[in-house]
Amino acid sequence: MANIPLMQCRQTDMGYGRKVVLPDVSLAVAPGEVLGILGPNGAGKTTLLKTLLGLLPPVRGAISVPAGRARVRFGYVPQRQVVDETFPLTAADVVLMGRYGLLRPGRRPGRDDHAATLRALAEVGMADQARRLYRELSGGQKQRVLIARALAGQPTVLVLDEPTTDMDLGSERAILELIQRLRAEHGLTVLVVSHLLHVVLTLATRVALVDRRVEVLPVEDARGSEVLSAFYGVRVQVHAINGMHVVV
Amino acid sequence: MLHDLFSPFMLTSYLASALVGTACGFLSVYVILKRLVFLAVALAQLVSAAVALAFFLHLNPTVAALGGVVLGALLFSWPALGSVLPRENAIGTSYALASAAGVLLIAKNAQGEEHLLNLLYGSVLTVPPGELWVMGGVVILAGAVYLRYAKEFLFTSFDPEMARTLGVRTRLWEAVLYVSLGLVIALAIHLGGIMLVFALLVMPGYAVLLARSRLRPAFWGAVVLALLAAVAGPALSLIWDVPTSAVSIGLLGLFVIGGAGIGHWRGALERGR
Ligand SMILES: Nc1ncnc2c1ncn2[C@@H]1O[C@H](COP(=O)(O)OP(=O)(O)OP(=O)(O)O)[C@@H](O)[C@H]1O
Ligand SMILES: [Mg+2]
Repeated sequence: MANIPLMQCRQTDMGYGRKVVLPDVSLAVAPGEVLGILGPNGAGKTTLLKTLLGLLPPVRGAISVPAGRARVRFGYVPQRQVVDETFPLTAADVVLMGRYGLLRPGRRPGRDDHAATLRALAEVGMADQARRLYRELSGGQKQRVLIARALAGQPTVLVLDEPTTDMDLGSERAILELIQRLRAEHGLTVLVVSHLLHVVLTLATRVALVDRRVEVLPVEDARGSEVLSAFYGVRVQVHAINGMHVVV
Repeated sequence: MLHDLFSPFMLTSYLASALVGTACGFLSVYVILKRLVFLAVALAQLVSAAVALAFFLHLNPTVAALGGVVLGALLFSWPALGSVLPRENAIGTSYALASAAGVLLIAKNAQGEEHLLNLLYGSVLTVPPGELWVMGGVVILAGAVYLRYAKEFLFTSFDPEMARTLGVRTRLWEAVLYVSLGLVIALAIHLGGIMLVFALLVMPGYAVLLARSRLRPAFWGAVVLALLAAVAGPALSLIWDVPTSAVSIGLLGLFVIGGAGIGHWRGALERGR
């Protein structure tokens, strides 16, 4: 059971319209894994993520779901900058939207949904901020709210696009630990895009190196300095300190 | 005087105002939050141009207005429109062209000029009763759809990408929003004139959101303000013998100033805590 992939694609071309950005992608996402997605700007990381999420139709081929649609429920944490801040919504209002996917069109959220909203906020340490306006929260707090929103929908696959950009060291660390804890407690599958090598090398079980092509390897292999040096074309050294991986 | 205020003629115009106010006031919150102000003016101007064209060619103006709005909504939501430069530029250009076309057509239209001007810039005082029924039907239908599918509309306009990953049909809800905006504009201009309709599509939402209202109360608040301003227009215009739209818009201006004041005060209170 465990080795039936949640999602997979074979020789799929990904891109926009007829323009192929990532040709010939073959990838299988296993349940419970943390797939870290690395690559330079414009490499196609977001393209890969959006195609897997079904936001972007593949140019050729298809994404299949061998585990069955019912076992794939996404919890998408978009880049914080993408979220519209003019709306006068509280943290709880934003998190409640995570429940909407579980409700049929025209159905209103009920008591269960409000309870799940508060639980998700508590899980990310934001229970006391539930009634504050989202737009008046700090950057790290907003990120936590967006993670809570993803969790409120009881996802099986958590998808994070650059979750720690613009964050201070403490918040970044806290988010990482949160993701690790959530994965351990809920058995979530995690797809995470990041520019921060140490984030990916610390969190991931497998790494996808994306640069106009996709190469997937176990995280241990990616931690080897030669692989990353060759990939980025600059000298990279990886050191392990207190379970974190530091990149020089 | 009191007797005049409640004549059947005036009651009709209150009803027309109430319908226009309710629909525009509700949509004004979306107009502000989704930054559709520019789009709303351009759609309104397209409607006037279409009506002027219909007069010129002796066609049915209501059909022309609806046609103009559908064309405009389709044009402005065409994805390629924003691919090189922001969509606003195309919207602004259409606005200018539609205004020019309207002016030109009115100037060249020898007979019925006054009637046409009244239709475009006129007031709720000249409402044909048949149109009230149409507008009433549209308001009730749209209201029911918006209330029932409130969460879909909210999710689609706040974060369409996340909504799509959860299986929400964002294209559908967005299309419904644009079409209802267009429909309301087309019908309301007929009843209230372009100036009033535009003011009602922007200022009530602006006032309540300036007052730092939360989202759900903002919709109700905007409807109440729009209703007040729209219905007070014909009444005060009778009493003071001034144009209706000007009175309504003046009131809306006061609401916006009041909203800004309340927002400022609430902000200071929150910072003080
Ligand atoms: N909407 C689009 N239409 C056409 N091409 C696009 C579109 N979005 C991105 N691209 C192109 O696809 C390529 C990959 O973009 P993508 O956003 O996936 O990169 P990325 O790896 O996420 O980069 P970054 O690190 O800067 O976020 C780029 O060359 C980009 O120009
Ligand atoms: Mg990206």
